[in-house]
Amino acid sequence: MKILCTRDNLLNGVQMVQRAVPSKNALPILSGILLKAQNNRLYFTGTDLEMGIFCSTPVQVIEEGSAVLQARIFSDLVRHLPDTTIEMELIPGTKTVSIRYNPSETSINGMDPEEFPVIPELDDNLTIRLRTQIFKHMVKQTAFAAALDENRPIFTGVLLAIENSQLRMVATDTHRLAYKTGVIESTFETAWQAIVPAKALVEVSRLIKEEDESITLVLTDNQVLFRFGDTSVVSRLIEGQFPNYKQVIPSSCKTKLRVGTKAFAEAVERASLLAREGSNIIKLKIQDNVMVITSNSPDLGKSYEEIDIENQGEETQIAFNSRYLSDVLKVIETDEILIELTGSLSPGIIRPLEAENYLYLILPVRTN
Amino acid sequence: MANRIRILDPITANQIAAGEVVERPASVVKELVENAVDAGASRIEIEVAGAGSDLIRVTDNGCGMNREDAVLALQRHATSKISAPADLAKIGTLGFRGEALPSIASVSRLELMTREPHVLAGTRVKVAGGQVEAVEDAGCPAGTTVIVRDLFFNTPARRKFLKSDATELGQISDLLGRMAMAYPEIAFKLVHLTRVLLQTPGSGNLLDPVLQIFGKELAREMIPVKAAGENIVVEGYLGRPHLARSSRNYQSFFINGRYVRSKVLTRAVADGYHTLVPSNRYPMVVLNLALPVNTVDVNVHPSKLEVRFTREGELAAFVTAAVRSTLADTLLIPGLVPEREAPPGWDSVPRYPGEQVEWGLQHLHPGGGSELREAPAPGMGSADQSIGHEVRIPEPLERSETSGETFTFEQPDLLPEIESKVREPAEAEQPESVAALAGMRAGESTTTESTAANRTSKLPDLVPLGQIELTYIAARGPEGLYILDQHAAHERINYELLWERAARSGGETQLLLEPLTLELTNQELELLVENIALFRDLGFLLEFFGGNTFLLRGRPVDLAESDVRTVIRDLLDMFMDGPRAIEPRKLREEYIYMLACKSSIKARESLNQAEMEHLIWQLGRTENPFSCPHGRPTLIAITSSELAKRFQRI
Ligand SMILES: Nc1ncnc2c1ncn2[C@@H]1O[C@H](COP(=O)(O)OP(=O)(O)OP(=O)(O)O)[C@@H](O)[C@H]1O
Ligand SMILES: [Mg+2]
Repeated sequence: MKILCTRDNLLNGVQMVQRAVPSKNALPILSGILLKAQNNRLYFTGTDLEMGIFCSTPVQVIEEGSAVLQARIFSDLVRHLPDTTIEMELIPGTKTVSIRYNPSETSINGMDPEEFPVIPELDDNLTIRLRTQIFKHMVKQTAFAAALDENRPIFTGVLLAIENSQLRMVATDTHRLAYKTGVIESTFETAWQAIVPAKALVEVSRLIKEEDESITLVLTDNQVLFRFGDTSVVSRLIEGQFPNYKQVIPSSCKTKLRVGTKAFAEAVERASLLAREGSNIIKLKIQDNVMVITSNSPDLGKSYEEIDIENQGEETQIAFNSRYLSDVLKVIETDEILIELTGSLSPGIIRPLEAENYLYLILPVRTN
Repeated sequence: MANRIRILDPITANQIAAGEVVERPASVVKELVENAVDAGASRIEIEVAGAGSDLIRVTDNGCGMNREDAVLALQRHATSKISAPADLAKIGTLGFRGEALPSIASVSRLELMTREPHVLAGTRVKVAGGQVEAVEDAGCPAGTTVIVRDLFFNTPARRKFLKSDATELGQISDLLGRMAMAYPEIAFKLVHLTRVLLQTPGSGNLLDPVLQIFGKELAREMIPVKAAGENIVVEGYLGRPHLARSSRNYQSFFINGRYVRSKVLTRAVADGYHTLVPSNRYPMVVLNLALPVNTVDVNVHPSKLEVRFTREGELAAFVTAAVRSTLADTLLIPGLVPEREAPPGWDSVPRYPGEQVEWGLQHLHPGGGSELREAPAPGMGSADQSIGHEVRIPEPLERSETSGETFTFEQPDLLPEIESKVREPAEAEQPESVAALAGMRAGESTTTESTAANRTSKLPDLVPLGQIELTYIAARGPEGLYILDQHAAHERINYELLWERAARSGGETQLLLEPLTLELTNQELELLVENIALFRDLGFLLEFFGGNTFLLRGRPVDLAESDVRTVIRDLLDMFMDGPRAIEPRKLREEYIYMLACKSSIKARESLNQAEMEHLIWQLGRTENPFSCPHGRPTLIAITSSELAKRFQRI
């Protein structure tokens, strides 16, 4: 392998794929980045076996070939390379890559490219295309609701489903559930669904650049590939049966109120400061035209917040983990929201006002 | 055919009774010494030979008897201590059956010499195998001497059952040790042949007998406890938690001067030491309890070893609170024992202080004597008033002949200083920690003011030096080197924190969208079904699904979802062998143990300086910084003098 390239060529590729390189690795080879020179492009690959990131950049290939370099050392070096033409060469008969930037040179001992896991090519038959802006927005409003702990793996994923020419994303950690629909450009005839690790979706969202207009999802039985710009991300799917989200979303409610998003979010934030340690419990009392939010930490103090609302239903009260409320209030972009409640033991629902495509369901805390 | 049923002759009857009363030499000593105590003696001397089977001589300076009484005393059911059935409900003396002397006399050669102090001539009665052989005038000191020779000479079978001399003698000296602790105001002396086995000064200071019995080293690790309620006085010594033994034999309880075995008290003490000693160990304690006589039934056990209490729950709660608050106010670091001021003369040979009595239990009450004193039993003669042993029974303020219903135990007033001579029992001055402590465990009343951050540290100033094996923290402190177990320390911190929280709210349930399934064994299932409401109180919302499956529809807000299954299973395991119905308090406690353990720093976890300092800071502000919730120590000390010894500098 021998190429000529610029610092920016390398930097972009390294920074992209490095996100897939595991920080703590069981397999030494995974701490490396696979470099492959071919057809006047340099291909970068990083993977932790759960997820793989590829990207490529045009370079001048003098001799095709591949090498694996320690991600940490290579990326740190690239970051500090001078802005001149850079020659990279795999010293024949070794695994060492020589990086030359006249008059200097750094040699890095690499690893065997043969050992690097092969990430299978995906069949391009089942694809969906949608605008990256929509995709990012959907991920932002759902992925946070997925579970972090691996106790029940299904809930660490986001359900992606095609239905009625729409893409749906649903995530839940069993304490709250976020549901969002989005329009897709190229449709897919059959109904289809898969559970994608939330982590992969968040990563993809992060890697999408301004100029990337659309994103393509390629689906197989156990993997999904995201393609945007010069980059592809492949992720395994989570096996299992996602709970029937439609069933848990109540179709009616007894209390329906309208409240300013910002005022509510700020009140929740303040109240949560004084929620009992370890519990985050805040109580909402919905009256005719006001909502009273209270919290009480015997150690720290207590909080009483009153905000104006427009209530169209019964008075009620309910306790929530404040975190689940503030999480959603951070991702809702409308000025006002609707809250739907039915007593203190049924799930509450939050929707942006006049936006049919988002719903957030939150389970209450039963207090004595 | 001749009639086969006959009324037994008195001698045989006495021998049979003796079977119950007089089992071995130690029981003879016990009865004789108890009589001496009942007679108001301030000095009792016991001499034995041949481990008691050859000779037992008990000499007292008590009230003595006149001739008629001396003869009568040797007859069955002759007693001066009670006269009517109603008296049984308020026994204030050690004896009450009128059985001891005749029983002993029926199985030995007994000689009784006695003289009332105001009379010149004394009496001598000699009995052999129950037959009175002589009643004659005798010159003798005021008081009574009983000599028992050739015990069981006429009942060889019984004699055969005696154990080795060493064992029998050991029992006698144990017994006298207990008597001495029950009556610190009486001077006891036990002599075997020419050797003094035990001698107490009768100073009224319990520390003296405690020193004699446990030795200087152990006694130094005993913490004095004193508490008085309206109708109860508790005084004694509590062994530091690390002295706890696997047997109950190192616990001595005395009710109104009577040594008793009591499950109620053992349990109450264990509760007081709760979390300070492992549950399978018994703390060493010596506790003298003074209670109104009509609240204690001593007539339930042939050798009077067991008693029954009216209002036993309140009694237990009082003892528990007294123990707990005393321990909470003490620095309980193993290896670190504050040098206790030696009581005057405790190193020197104990001396007989004559008739002078400094203070006894009665001293704890205002007015000490008269209003507390039970009138001397009829016929007993009046003991010299200057002699210390007044009957130490506080009477209920409202006298009630029939029941103990009218008295109450209130929160213990800790008597802060041994010197405090007179004290109003009802005085409402109460160390803050009592309330805080009483509330802590049961979680009743901990107020905002008593939260950890506001407390002052119970630990000395410790400067962490570093970790050992990433498990222990070495720290420098005023007395030398201190070593903390980081996990145990953090467990203690979390445990108390969680109790506080549980007290304030608790049982809050985060409902789940998708229930968690829980597969259980048949046994676990049954136990859970039976106690499902208790689990709900902790915040587990469980629903039986059928088969062996439960659905968890909500989890306690404080418990991470990943831990829910193991916690439920572990809790069930914990109670698998016990009764079907789980005690709610126990369940909550185990649950909190688990939470505390799960949220604590583990062994082999690296800590930086700030983290170590913070851990010590937090530990110092717990109620019981010295042990983890399971009773293992959180820190130990190696004192500078110990270090100097090891390096042979001294
Ligand atoms: N050392 C003593 N000094 C004075 N009086 C004594 C002494 N020993 C016994 N007596 C008298 O003799 C009586 C009988 O004693 P004895 O021990 O047989 O019975 P008790 O003590 O009344 O009851 P118990 O059988 O429960 O011990 C006592 O009630 C007491 O009046
Ligand atoms: Mg007696």
